[in-house]
Amino acid sequence: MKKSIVVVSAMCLALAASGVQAAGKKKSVEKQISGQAYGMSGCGLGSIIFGDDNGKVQIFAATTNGTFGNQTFGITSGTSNCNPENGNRADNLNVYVEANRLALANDVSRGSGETVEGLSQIVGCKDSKALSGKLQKDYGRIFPSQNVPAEEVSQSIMKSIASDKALASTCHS
Amino acid sequence: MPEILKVSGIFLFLVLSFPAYGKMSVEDVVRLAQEKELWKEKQWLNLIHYKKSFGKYKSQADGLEFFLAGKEGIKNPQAELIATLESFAKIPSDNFQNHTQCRFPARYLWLESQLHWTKNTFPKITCDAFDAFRKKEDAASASLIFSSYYLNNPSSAYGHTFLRLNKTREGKYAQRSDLLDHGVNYSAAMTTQNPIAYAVMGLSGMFRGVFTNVPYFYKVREYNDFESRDLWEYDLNLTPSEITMLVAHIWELGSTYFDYYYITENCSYHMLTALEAAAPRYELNKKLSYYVIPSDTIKAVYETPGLVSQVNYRPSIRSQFDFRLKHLSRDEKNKIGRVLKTRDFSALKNSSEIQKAKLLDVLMDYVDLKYGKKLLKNDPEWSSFKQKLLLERSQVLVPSPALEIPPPTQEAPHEGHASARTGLMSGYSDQTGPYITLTHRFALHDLLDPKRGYPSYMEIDFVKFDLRYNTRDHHLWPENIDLINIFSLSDFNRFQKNLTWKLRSGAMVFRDEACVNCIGGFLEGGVGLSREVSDFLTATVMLDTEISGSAKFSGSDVRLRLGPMGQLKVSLCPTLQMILRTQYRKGVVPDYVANTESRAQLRWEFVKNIAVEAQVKHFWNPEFWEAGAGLQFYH
Repeated sequence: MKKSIVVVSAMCLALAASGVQAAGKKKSVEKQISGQAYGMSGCGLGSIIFGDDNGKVQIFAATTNGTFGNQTFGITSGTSNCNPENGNRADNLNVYVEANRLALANDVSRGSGETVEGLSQIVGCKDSKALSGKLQKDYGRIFPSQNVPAEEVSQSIMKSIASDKALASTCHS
Repeated sequence: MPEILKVSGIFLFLVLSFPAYGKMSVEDVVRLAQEKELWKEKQWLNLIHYKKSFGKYKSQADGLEFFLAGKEGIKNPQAELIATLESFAKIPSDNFQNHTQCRFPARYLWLESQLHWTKNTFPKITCDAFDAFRKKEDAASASLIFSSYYLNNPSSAYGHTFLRLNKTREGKYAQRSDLLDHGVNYSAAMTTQNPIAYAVMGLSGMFRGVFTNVPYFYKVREYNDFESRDLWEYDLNLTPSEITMLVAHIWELGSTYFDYYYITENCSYHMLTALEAAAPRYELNKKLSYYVIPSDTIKAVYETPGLVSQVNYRPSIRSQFDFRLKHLSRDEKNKIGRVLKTRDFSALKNSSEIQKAKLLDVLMDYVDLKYGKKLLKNDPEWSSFKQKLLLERSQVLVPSPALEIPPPTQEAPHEGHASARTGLMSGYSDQTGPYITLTHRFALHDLLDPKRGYPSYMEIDFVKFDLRYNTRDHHLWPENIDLINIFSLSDFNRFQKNLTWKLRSGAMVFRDEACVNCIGGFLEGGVGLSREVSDFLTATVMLDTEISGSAKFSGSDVRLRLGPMGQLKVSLCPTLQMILRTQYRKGVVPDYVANTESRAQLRWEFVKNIAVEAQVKHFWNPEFWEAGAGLQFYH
């Protein structure tokens, strides 16, 4: 009887281990979201999910990630330096572009979509339809490759807007 | 009545009647609070997260800095209230942000609304950090969000809930995107990477649970895109003052921590305590059982009269792709297949602009769904193909129409059957005789359960046991105990070559060559293919591996067995499921004679949360039959 208890409990532990390991490996939250070590790329979804261990699959997604802040008051941002409201508009745009990179590139190339609507609010354009039409035309300039830095994407977006006078007039600068 | 009380009573009357003219001192305020016995008020108890057990209060908050009366505050609502009022009066030091008026804005707001103190009662403090937070959230309403089941991650398998503070959507902000709203998440701060330690610590409250504030787009990208989980958004009916209170209380909660218990005080539980602290008129926690499953909290919220104003569905990347694919003709699917094969767009040459846009949109979703992880890691092969796709798409100047996917209301979490199940079955086995089986499952859903509220491709049981009683020789034994059982079925088709897999562990009674009727532990895993033949029929074949152990096995105590398994899942209607399954297992180490087990099971939910079940099983080597029928109750 004792033996079988040992066998059963060993199996349960093995199960717990296999389940968790299958899901991957976790990283230090602080580093991954502070963005300091990475520039803006630290605010991307990849760094949130993969953290330092780029080669490994996630273990506990940000669902279960907490923060490690030892602050004495207030609520921490789960994405400390990656808050689109923290800085000036350029920083906000950079964070937004980096975090939504894949979806935003899709929507820009499609000429419509939610991430472009969100973008139009950040850059202060009233007509998101006109904005998405213009950005679609300039897709190749905005995203010359899939991994162009967010700062460059943002600059190209602003240039694209500025180059269209009718559109620019509906955006407050 | 002593003279002094009379006098103070008159004084209080005057103060209360003419608040604008008099000045209430701190002592007056404290006295009034004493008189009103404010610490007995529900909202005060909610704000400090007191729970009553055995007649005594104890706060669930575990960070000591949350209590202004020190350790006494943890268990004494009155002491904490008085200490709070007194602390509001402290002359601020150089750092205003650390003043309790700034750290506990919800307590301040609520006490002010109860005590109507005057402008000059307490020193005037400006709370820059809190004001900045409030401005950033700009909350006009709130929603409770449910992120659907994610079987690939043990800590998300039951789903996840969090709050979203929705920004103003009036006037010039009418078009505001949800993406720029903020999520409020409660989760465990992991301190270990050791999976065993994780399991133990998660269940016993050794992690700190903390509230964090994250832009909603991070949540959407993570859940909808990366993990391919549908999101269900429940818009809540809260008054502007309740929203103000909610924002203030979330700020307070950010400064403390709670011990995180995976199955009791978890993310879902604390979303409801935070809500109830802000809006005590909704009694939410009373509706929950001791163990809190995320989907149960959604049901509790949904069933609270007047609380939910609207339910929104945000499809995952998989749901989006499936929807797009379903609307393609065979010819269009072939074109997509050719693009994926040749990696160029010659197959789309003869398509109209609109068709081309449509097909490229499907392809983009396909690459995101299938290679999302690689794209995030800038895998050169897929990143460059994706770039090619997007360049091609951007040259078709047809904006894609918004994808309007009808919500699969059948799968909405609030529609689900209750997660615990208890059943009683009576039957006969020609090997062990007449029996009665008592079944209890703690959570959550299996393939025979009614489909409503759960995705049809998953089975997840957490702690399920069958106790069997032989009515002839009055003998009782545990027939089967599943600690965990996960079965994930995925349709294997042209575009999604996903595997079906299962994992199960526990203890059961074995009846094979190594031993007849002895209980042993087991760990079982399997991989295979499933095919949705029609909406009603799913066929599965798998190869199973089993490691089992018992001191009573002949030969070796531990053994390894292998064998194929075939299954037909028939969904006759959402409330009536049938499973036909046969499995063949052969001992590998040590070398045993093979045995098989075949079964047919049928379960029909004929009234909400009550089902009738029938099953027949046939075993071979040794050969015997058993058959039974009974009732199952979801609760």
